[in-house]
Amino acid sequence: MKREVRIRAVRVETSGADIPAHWQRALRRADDFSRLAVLAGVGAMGADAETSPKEGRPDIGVFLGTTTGPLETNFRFLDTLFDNGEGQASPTLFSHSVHNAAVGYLARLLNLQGPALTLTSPGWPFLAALAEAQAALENTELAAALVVAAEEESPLLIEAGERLTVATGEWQADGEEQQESTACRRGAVAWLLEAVEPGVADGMRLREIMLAEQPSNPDFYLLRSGERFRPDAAARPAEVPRSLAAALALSRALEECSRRGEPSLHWQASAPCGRAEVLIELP
Amino acid sequence: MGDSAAAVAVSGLGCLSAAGLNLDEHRNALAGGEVNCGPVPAEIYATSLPFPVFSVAGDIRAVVGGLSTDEATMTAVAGLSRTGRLALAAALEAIARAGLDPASLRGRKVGVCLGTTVGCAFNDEDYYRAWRQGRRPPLAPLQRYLQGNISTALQAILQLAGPALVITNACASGTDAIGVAADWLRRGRCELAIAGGADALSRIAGNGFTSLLLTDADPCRPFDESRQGLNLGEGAGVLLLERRESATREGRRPQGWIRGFGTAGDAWHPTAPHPEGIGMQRAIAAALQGSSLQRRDISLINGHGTGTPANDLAETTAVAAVFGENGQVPLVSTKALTGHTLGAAGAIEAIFTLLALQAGKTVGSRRCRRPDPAFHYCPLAEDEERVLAGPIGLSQSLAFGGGNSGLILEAAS
Repeated sequence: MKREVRIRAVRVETSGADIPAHWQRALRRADDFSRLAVLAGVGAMGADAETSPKEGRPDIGVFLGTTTGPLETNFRFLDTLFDNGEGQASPTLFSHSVHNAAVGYLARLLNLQGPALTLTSPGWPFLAALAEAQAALENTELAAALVVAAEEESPLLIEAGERLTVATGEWQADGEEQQESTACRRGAVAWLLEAVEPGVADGMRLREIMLAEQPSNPDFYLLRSGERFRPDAAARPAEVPRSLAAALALSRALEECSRRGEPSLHWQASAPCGRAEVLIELP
Repeated sequence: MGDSAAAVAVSGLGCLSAAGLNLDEHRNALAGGEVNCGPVPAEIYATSLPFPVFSVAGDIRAVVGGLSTDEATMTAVAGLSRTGRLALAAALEAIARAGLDPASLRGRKVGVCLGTTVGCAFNDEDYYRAWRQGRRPPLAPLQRYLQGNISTALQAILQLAGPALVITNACASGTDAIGVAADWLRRGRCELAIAGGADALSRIAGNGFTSLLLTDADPCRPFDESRQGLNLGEGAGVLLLERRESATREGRRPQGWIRGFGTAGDAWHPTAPHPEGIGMQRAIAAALQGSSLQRRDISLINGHGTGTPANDLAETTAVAAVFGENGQVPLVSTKALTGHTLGAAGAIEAIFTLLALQAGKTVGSRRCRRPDPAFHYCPLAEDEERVLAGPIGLSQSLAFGGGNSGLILEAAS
């Protein structure tokens, strides 16, 4: 019989989050993208120990979804290439510019040796990662899955978005000088899912994910105009990447439902990139 | 992920790499045909690095034009990145070889799951250089990037209605994309799946691997005792997958089967494999378990075999642990035919594995003149040839981030 999927924990981290002292050495070379993913993942796992577990966990997988990956790290690598010349670029930055670097960190620090999947999709990669994790838990011997959304809205993207926001007529034309730089927006959301046998009564159950995505205009991927969530429990703070909005809205809606003691959450998303529904039963 | 209750049919294959512009040319290369490894062609990018690469020779747009008469497709090709063009060309070949017209797929629940690395990075150097100098370059390159996720782009061009995802598991992406797509089919998320991987040569990746001291200044020598590293390559491999009953119902004769898939992490190092290949061992075990096969059923192992000292040692150690130090299953690498095509590697190598299984024989890894005596498992040398004991083989991938994947394929009888 197909197993059920319990949502064990949800964690949100955004720019400016502090790294606990005992993780600072392990993360000393990590870029901010990986750090936030690790903070969210470690938080969801409840792994506050000062050292990594000695025993590996081949029965726990990591599923990470992202729209553009560590874009800012990619640009820092380009900086070293432009500034230092060919053959002199930074190996550390290159290895961190790979989209699955964050999953590598999570796996190493938490000694997770199960499947590790990084998914890149311009629409709702967290929902795609959630769906893959749910299927793996229902149909294989995997005991748990850490599902992470990690996003980085580079100043380059923010500036491009400002140029596209033409309604005020105050935007600058192509080729003109930029005005002032903006800080990179970063954020990560992590859910810990567990496989449980049917009939076990406790905890929230991830029942169904319906995801129907379609190609969209590139300007949507930049501005996310027309993206709607229901329920939408909280506004997106300014420091959070626009592409993290769905993961954040779903997580907040779940917290809100849980706080109010509601029996279920039927969360819906619609946008030019498609539509999605998530059904969760609460205890 | 390792569970696979039912074999999935491989109904069509398509590939481009330095080894050729289509499946037949890859078959010829596998049988001993010449493959060029040389400087990066100027039309791809200019570089002062002395490391040779394996580039796709010829006009990819012309390859697409030879496979599609659809005007909209040809218009869309112009807006695609080189990686996207490679992916589209391989997909169109796989669709054609399955006996399907791309137009017949429009609006149908056809999934697209492709692996890439370079193809998902915004590497427009001119745009970024101008931007960091405080200018506001025209947005077109950025818009192309945002619309250029290769799976979503193929979904748009072919007007498909199924799921679309890019797997970015570094060098295991192509293998993992096939595993994920096979799972979609088993779960009924789509009726057909375009699965595989694509990556184009890039100055960024060239400098990245050089900075890590992983590239060889000569043509690579996987598994050879004198190996010095990898050569980068480019290409795409696509498998058109469907459920057995779908192939039967439609009267399509499968080229082969996806029998199993397993993936596991090393939890060890950002860029180096675990020295004993523990993740690879577990990935093979998961693939075998999910397919209900035994290791004795495996007749060929197409290794990741990049030619780097660390990869080849870890991989042979893992193979020895699973198949025994005196194991008789031939272990080969095809990287000397294609270079390391990163996100495409697993898919192209799955296709090479199927081609060898179909032929019922394999030759040793090109330029592996003396397998490293330090290995616990002896790969097949260049001058060796083996008749395969059966139709089932294993294709392996290892990746940055500690990812390891094994894909079990069977040639159709």
